[in-house]
Parts: sequence; C-alpha cells; structure tokens
Amino acid sequence: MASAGSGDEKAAAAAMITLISSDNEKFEVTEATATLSQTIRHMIEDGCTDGGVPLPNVTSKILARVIEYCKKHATAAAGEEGSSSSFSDAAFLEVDRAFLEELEEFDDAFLEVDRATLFDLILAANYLDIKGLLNLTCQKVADSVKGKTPEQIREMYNIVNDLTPEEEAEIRRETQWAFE
Amino acid sequence: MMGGSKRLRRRSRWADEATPQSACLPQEMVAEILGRLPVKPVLRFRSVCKAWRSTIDEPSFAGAHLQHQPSSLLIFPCSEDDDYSSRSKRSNSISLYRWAQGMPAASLVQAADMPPEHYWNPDHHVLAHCDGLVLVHTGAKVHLLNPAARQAAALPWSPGSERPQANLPFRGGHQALGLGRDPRAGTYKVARFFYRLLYYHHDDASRYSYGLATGMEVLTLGGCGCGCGCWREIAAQPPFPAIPDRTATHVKGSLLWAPDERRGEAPGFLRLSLEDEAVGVTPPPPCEPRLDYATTGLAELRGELCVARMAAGRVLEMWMADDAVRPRWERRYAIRVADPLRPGRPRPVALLDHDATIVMHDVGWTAYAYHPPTRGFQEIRLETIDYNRGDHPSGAIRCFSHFVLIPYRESLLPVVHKPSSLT
Repeated sequence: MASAGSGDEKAAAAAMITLISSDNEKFEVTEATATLSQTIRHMIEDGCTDGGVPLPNVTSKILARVIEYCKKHATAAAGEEGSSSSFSDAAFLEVDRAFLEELEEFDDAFLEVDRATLFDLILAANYLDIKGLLNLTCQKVADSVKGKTPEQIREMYNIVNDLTPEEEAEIRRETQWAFE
Repeated sequence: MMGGSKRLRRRSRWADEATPQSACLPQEMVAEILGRLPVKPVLRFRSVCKAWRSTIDEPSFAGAHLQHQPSSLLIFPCSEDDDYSSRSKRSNSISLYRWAQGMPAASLVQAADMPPEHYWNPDHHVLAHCDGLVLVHTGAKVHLLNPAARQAAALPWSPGSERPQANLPFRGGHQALGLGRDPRAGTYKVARFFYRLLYYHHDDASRYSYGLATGMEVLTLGGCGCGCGCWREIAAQPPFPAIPDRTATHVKGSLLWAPDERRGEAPGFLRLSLEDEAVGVTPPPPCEPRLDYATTGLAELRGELCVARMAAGRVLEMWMADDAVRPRWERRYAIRVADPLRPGRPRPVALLDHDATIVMHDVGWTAYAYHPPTRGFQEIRLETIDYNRGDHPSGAIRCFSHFVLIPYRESLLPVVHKPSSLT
C-alpha cells in the first residue's frame, strides 16, 4: 500500500517519523510502527510528515501508550507476513502460537488502566485510525458494561436520564425480556 | 451519524456534571462501544438516556453492530417426534439453540410453533441465515425470525407456495427458498424456486393436458413500497430445477441453489442475483469425479464459497472460490481423515471467526471442526451437547432424529424491515 516501490520498502521500513503530542513532546518512531495508524499512513503517502506530525488531540501520556501498542503490534504484523507461507512447518507453527499468546498477554496488560485513560486511548485510536487498538479498547468497555442495568450505566458514566417516565416505560414494555 | 453541534452540546454537558472519580464516556464513542455488545444489552441500554436511544435507533447502527458480532452456530435438534417414523406424534414447534464451539451446552434462543406441512427429513434444509435473520420453511409457510431480538413474522402466502395438485414425478417438496441481501439497495430478499402445473388447452378447447414448469419469485422485506412485503414472480425462467427443500446459500448478493439432476445434468449451481434479479449459473469446482450435488453442500465462509467432499483415499477436499458469478475454484484444503472418523457427506456450515475453525456437518448426529492453522480435524457429537431449554415448558429433548445446523450472527435487524445501510 505504501507509495514507495518495492525496491524502496526496506529503506522505508527503517525511516523514522517524528510524532508531536498536544503538549509538544516529540516521539521518534519507525515508519512501520507509525503506519499502524491509517491517519499517519495517509500523511506519509501525501508526503506531509517532514518536520514531524503534530497530533493536537493526543497528550504525551496517551501517545506514549499508543506507541507502545503500535510497536508491539507492528512486530506482530511483520512476523505474520514472514511466516504465512510456512504454516505447514510445525516448528513455525509453535513459534506463531507462542507469539500470539505473548501478544494476547501484552494486550491484557495494556488494558490495565483506569477508566479515564481507557477513554483517552479510545479517542486516540479513533483519531489516529488504529483499527486493532480501537477494537481492543472498545471491546474492553463493552465487556465491562454488558451485564449492567441502565441505572448502573448512568451511575458509572454520569449520564443524566433525560427520558420521560412514559418513554422509559415504553422501552421496558417493548423489550421487557432484555431487562430480566 | 449525528450532527456536530448536537454532539458537542451533549459532551460538554456531561463533562460539566462529571465528578473527578468517574470518567465520561465520550458521546462519539458510544456507538463504537454499543456496537460491540450483544443484542440483549443493546436493547436494554435504549433506556439509559435519549442520546443512547437515538444512537441505537439510528438506521446505520444495526449494520455497524452486525460487523462486530462474533459468528456462532444455530442448531435445530429434530426430536424423534418430528420424524416421519412417528408422524402422528410429530412436533409442532421448532426450537433453535445457539452454540459456540467447545461449549458443553447450547442455549435456547427461539422456540416457535411452526407445524411442518410434511415431515422433516435429514435432507431437508429448512433453515437459512443472513445477517442475524433466520428463515424457517415448514412447507407452505415461511417464517422469518430474529432470535436475538426475539422477533418473528410469517411471510405472506404466494401462488408458488402451493404444492401442485398432481402427481409430481418425484418425491419430496416442490420448492426451495433462499434469504439474502441486495447489496445495492441494502434490502433483504426472500426468493423461492418452485414447480407449478401448466395446463395446455388443445385446439377444440374441451381437452387439455398439463405439464410441470418452474418459476422463481422474490419478496423484498418491507421494501415493496406498501410495506407489507409482496411476492413477485421474476420474468426470468430458471434454466434447470433446484433440489426441493434445500435452502439456497447466500454469498455477496447472490443466492445459489444446488441443481436437481434427477432429470438431467446441470451445468452448475442455480444462481439468482439479488440486485438485478437475473438468473444464472455458477460453475462447480473442477473436481474429479464430477461433483454430486445431491450429497455435497455449499456454504459461504467469510465471503467465500466453499464445497466440501470426500475424495478417494479418505481425503476430505475443500474447494473455495471468492466469487459467485465467475468463481475461480481452488482446492484449498485436502485433509486426510484418520480412523475412526468417517465423515460421509460433510457439508460446510460456518467459519467461526474467533479461531478460523470451519464447521462441517454430516447428515447425522456428527459435525466436524477443521482448524486450518493447526490442521486439527475433530468430531463434534451433536447429541452430547446439553440443549438447555431454560424454563421452557416442553422439557428436555431426549430422542434426536437428526440436526440442522446453520451459521449465525446476532443482529438488531428487524423482521419488519426497512432498507439498512450496511457497508
């Protein structure tokens, strides 16, 4: 997908990109890491990354976490590409499996954050268009609310119930079974 | 999506009211999170506040939600009572159980009173699935269910649903149904292949004779303008018949029926394009010996067509193709099946997306799970699964005659239907 031809791909993989957080902190990352973000990938393709990529919506604290995620998953993506043709080989299979398990452990540990950080990560993943991270973080929130009642949700997230009692009663009547 | 000003207002209001201990859920991310929940909590959370209700009721939400739902299986265990061997006792209901691979129990998702017109036998495929909607075909009656949203509707009668009142030259039913999505209009369509009698009057008009003809009719769910859903016969004639009582496979806007070759060889699967309602042929995989449509099954696995068959030397072959119109068939897997497994007529059913397992079903009590990354091939004994009926009054099933398996994905799509914008 990258604009560079296949001959340049090795050079491109080693190229460094500077990301600049909202509080002006600079992060040097490889292009392979940065392009997990579709937003940055498009910027690179358009050739507008000279002098760094300003990310006014992402704080340095969150950006550091996002980069941590991307670094780990960029190696995973590279590993997958290299080994897909050797599925038949049992040794490779074991390596793949071990690596996938390690990645899963990484993801679990990565999600051990407070709610505010988790929401900031979701916003950053959305803004930077990092599909895997958005999926991971949103699923984490979804799993944590799955069994809750509407009242508990309102309490957890400070949501004011602006439905009229009639509207609320109607929803309950339509799908009573969903409340049981 | 919602207007920008609305979103800003909501968000700032929440932010103002937030206490330092609890974080606000950014409103623009509410849809992303709700989209990853099963149907039941989504419906419950309509009562959280107006913003959540309107997010969920947004027509585009059902499509986005569906994209995040994991694939699973629906099992219809036919009890001994449903079987022709005891027709007098046959069951009047159909119970669908949702099952995830590896689970000891399957949970009842829908039980509905649907007396079959004639007996179900293992060769009858009475179910079809598309985007969380399940078509149940019990003979003359066709029902549409959304088990996750607990909705059901009976589709209207049509001339094609009537069994011709004459001795058909074959046993079994006279029709084959299918359910799929018109990718251009975003509507769901039910299609029926059927046999009917045609009368020919002779010159003196006092004498006539009759013959069998085939036809195809389509019902657009909620999309025919009047909202009721009407059957329309399409102009094109099927070039050859489909196997009766076997539902079509839906792949990328096409419905494919296995051809009935009892009265002559067919060039491939019978195809109906749901977008332009054109009838065509999808060539079979170039396997040797020639594909026997009566004993093989066709499935859609993550957008691809799949045919499984037992070849010589106990090798289970899986042929895949990425396109229904011009399929480029490829023999992707050849699995040597070790004793004591004996898949006689494996039909591919579903690809479970959490670990890429392909589930196949034999006609009997056995299903098989193939896991391509590890080449693991395992048996699933369907009768050993605990069919948990909850507090359903009719009690546990004891005697199974056979099982029907279909792929399934929960969705919010209503059975009374409006066009949806799936991407």
